[in-house]
Amino acid sequence: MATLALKSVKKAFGDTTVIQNMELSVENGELIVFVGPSGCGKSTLLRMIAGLETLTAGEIHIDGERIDHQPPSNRGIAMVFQSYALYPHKNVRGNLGFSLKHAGVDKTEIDKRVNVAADILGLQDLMDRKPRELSGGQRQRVAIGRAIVREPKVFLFDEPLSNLDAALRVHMRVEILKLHQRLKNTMVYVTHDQVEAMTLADRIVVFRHGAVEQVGTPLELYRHPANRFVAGFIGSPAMNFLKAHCGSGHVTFNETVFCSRQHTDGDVTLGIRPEHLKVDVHGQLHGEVQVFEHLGGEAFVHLTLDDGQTLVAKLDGEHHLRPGERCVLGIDPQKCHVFDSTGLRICTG
Amino acid sequence: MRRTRDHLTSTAIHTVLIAWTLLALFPLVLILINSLKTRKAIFGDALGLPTGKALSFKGYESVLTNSDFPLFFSNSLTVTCVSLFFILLFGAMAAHAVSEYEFKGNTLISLYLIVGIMVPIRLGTVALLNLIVKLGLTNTLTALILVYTAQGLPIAIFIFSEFLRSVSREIKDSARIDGLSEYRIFFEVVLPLVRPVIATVAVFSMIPIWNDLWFPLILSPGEETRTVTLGVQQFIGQYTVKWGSVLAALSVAIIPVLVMYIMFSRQLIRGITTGAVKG
Repeated sequence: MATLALKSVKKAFGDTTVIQNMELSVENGELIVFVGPSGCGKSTLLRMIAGLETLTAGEIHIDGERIDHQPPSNRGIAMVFQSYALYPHKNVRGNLGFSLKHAGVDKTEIDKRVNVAADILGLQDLMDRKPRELSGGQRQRVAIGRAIVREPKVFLFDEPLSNLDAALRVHMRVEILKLHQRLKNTMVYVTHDQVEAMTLADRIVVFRHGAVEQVGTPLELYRHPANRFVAGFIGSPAMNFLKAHCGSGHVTFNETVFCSRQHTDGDVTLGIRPEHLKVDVHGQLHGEVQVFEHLGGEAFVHLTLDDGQTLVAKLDGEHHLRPGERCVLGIDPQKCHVFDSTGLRICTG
Repeated sequence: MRRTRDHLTSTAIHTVLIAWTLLALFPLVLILINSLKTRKAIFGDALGLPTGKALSFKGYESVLTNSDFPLFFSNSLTVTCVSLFFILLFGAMAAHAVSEYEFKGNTLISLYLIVGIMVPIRLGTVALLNLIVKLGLTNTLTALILVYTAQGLPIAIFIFSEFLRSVSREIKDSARIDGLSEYRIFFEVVLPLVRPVIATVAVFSMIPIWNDLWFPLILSPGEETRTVTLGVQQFIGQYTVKWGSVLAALSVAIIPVLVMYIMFSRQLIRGITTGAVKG
């Protein structure tokens, strides 16, 4: 149970700044997810919290105590890595107890904590196996167990599910969520997968180029993205962006008014989520079907509009469209986002 | 058709390999069979087997009882094992330093450590002899150990640093979070992961040290500090050569290297193939 605070944290490698002036406070027991494309600095920031990278400037506090000058082992953190990072020459029991043994913890206490962790994660039958005899999911459970036995104030996860196959990833995602509900620890979780971010997070921090684009709960980010980048990153399939025009205070597209807040006239971008589009003969968007992907319960239609712009719509599984067919889609203007030329959201609906 | 061609290729490969094996084993077998023969038989029929009248254990007898051979043997063993220990320890540590840590001059230092591969150490014999004399280490095993350690380090560092670079950074980071010191990370986490490489380096370094005649002859030719290769020379007199004893001594000298090789060989093959596959 702990709070985590980052104050004006900066990181630069030579002339390249990878983290710019990061301010963030994580509440007690919160599961916060850092999400962003590759190379946006999210893993570097996590490694800085862990003490594996030095800070160029700024401070990191855990429970109000400044820890950025402490070695990793004194920070009260535990980290789970993408590649599991198990010690290949030790068996599961050895891996789980290694940090405690090194810290000089009493043997009965080690056994107790290792057994508790093994029970939580269902590892009891695997205790004498070496990591190479385990499957990917089992290895990741051992890696998580190794973090649990340290009883840390803050758990750090660095893309822990990226090496697993799709089915196992969904399963482990649920396991991690259950673990969080059970342990109620503060957790920082790094991923590039927005589905993981949406399902796990109490709050999401969206990164780009070493800076925070937006911090908020998953639904805040989905419903009120601060800018075009966040809008495009959160949600799957990604939001459609259409060129539109703003004249005399109204944003119009194909003669439909989408937003009438006061704004400088000029070019704007209309953001429409694929799931908000419906087949509607009276709709505003006319086009020709390019590709139709049927997933059973739902279907994705890739459309080229009459003005040449393309978009993707998520329809329910009842529909059957063929490539080349004409299609008219409708959208509730209330659910559309409007972004100005710099990418900032002007209004929704 | 295809199967016949595969069969032919395989036969050809095996023929070459078998021929190579015979070629490599021939001198060894020659030494072994002649070490068991009388002097007359050695010269009379060098390729004949040690049977009947030709059989004689005199060579082994004189090597094991009437000479300082056991002493030479233990000298060789001491020099080889201690040098090997230092080569492996310092080689792995230096390689870990240059492959793990980023510091100014890292590349320059790695090059400096490795460039010794290209400079034959025997070129520096005169300078080395001067140094050893000034240090007062002539006729000591220490002199040999120092020289062999220096001789073995470049190639050891080269091989180690290639493999240490492939050890996952996350495992080391994980150990750091577990609170291990950098030394313990090296000894408890990194070294166990590169065991096959240790065996590879050990075999590559061990054989030239065991077989060397040059440095024992120059740096420690004293009675007490002779190694096997130098000790064998005592059977080679000015007028007569006790071939039986020379060959017996050489046969015995093969044993420790062979034992060590067998010990390391399983790991060695793994070390070599890992390197090959990694590319």
